[in-house]
Amino acid sequence: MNGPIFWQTLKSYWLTILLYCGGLFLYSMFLTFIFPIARDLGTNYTEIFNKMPEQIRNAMGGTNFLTGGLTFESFMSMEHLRLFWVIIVTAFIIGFTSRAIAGEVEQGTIALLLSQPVTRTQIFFSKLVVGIIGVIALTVATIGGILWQAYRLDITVSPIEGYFLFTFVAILFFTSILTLAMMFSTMVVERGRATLLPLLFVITSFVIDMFAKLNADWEDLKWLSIFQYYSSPDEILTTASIDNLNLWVFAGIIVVTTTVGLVVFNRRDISV
Amino acid sequence: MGVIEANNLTKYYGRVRGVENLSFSVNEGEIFGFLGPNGAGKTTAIRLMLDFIRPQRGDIRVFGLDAHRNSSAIHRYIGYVSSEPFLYPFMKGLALISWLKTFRRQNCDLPLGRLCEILQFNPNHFIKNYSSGNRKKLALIQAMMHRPRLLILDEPTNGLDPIIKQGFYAILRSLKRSGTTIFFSSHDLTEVQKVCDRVAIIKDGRIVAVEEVASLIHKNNLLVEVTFNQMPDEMMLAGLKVVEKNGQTVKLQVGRGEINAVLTRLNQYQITDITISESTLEDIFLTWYQ
Repeated sequence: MNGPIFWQTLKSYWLTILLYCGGLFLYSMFLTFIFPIARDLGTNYTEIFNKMPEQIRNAMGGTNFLTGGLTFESFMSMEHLRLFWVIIVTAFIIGFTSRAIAGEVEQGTIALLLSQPVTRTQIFFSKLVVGIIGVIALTVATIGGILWQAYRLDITVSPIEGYFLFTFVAILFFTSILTLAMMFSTMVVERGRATLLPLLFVITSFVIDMFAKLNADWEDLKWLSIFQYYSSPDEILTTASIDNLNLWVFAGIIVVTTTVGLVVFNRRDISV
Repeated sequence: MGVIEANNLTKYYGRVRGVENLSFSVNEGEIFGFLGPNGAGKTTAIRLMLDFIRPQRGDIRVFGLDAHRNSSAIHRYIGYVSSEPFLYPFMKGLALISWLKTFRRQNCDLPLGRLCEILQFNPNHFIKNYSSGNRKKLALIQAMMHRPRLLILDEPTNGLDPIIKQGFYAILRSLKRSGTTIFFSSHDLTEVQKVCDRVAIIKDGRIVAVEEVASLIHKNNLLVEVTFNQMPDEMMLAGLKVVEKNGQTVKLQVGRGEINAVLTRLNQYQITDITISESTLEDIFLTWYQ
């Protein structure tokens, strides 16, 4: 890692990270505030979900309450953590990675960096670490917002271990998307493509996950989707456990995509 | 051993030729001009030197080190200005300079204030608000402020006005006196003639001549400009290399060994004026490209 590049990248992103964190913190607080209202609606609330197509319900996650009753964790999972939160954090990640390498190449500023006494590996890691800091900050702000508001409103939550584990899993999940998007960023010369490729990956992954849940014949497709390993947030939150395979898959994605990204970035010509 | 040693460098961008079997050597402490028109391969050679791109064949060594394997170590002692400097638009000039200083552990001992004064540059504005000339000045300052052992300049004076250019040449001479080697790529021949010790002419990706500027000019033809009282017949000028005719005036290119014979021939006519001058680098350059 290179200090000047790391600090400069952090300096140019701290406001974005802060805004995302603030937004997620407040949005999480707002959804937590909604929970008692949804709980008081009782069957009226669950009816809304009963009338939805099954695949939509599955996609939103946390529908365990249809059989097991509405809990705070199942509500947060369905309304926030399973889908909408993923979209928001993924938007941050892709916005960051597309500028990290491809954006520098497109803008021509990479020449300034490459002519300094730094290696390409240092450039890559200095930027990646800022992305990881962003992912951690966004995750902590979200979970922090949920827990803080739950505490204020005296909402009963599952044991805190579940929240710690979920935070850890979410950081791994988003870091996988981050390293994958960084890999794409090293491969192209335009910011637009560096945005499109990881976006296509995430959307395709999500669609595969939905299809796998639609029909028993397609069930095995789920292993191809990164969302399969993200699992159902309410299960992690309530049981404080996750299949180790999921963690290994995330670790594998991080190692492989980081390695490929590094190799590509180190070997490619940069004609600026 | 030279500060830069390029051996049979070949680089193609797909099917497009960048450079082919390019070999040259730059000595320590000299200002080495790299001359060629657009597309000749000058920028490709610089990109190879800086390890932005990798050659298909050949190798390039800087300070005796492989430019690819040791790029980070080499860049510690290099200053670089690209022909079109792309800088971070939302940074202020001073912030960029301060940030780039942190990359190098050695002191940036060329006083920034002095550089800004000579180049008439105000570093307190956002880069996006600078004109192209001011962006070039900022690029020059960041490349020279740490007094590099090797300064690589790609069309460094594009966008600079003549007064600033003079100041820039003075800085280059000062850097040269302190031992900096300067690789000066340009198509401004007057400038190269004024600044450089040696020059390489690159054509179609290959070096066609490498010579000291003075000796290159000296070895080449003389330019004789004669104004006749009455223009002689075409026949009388036969065998002479006429470069230009304008009224009663004729410009001739004459080999150094032939000057006596030509003057004897011209002596048969009434001459009102005659000047004999060295060919300029531009004349020599054009002969390679005609």
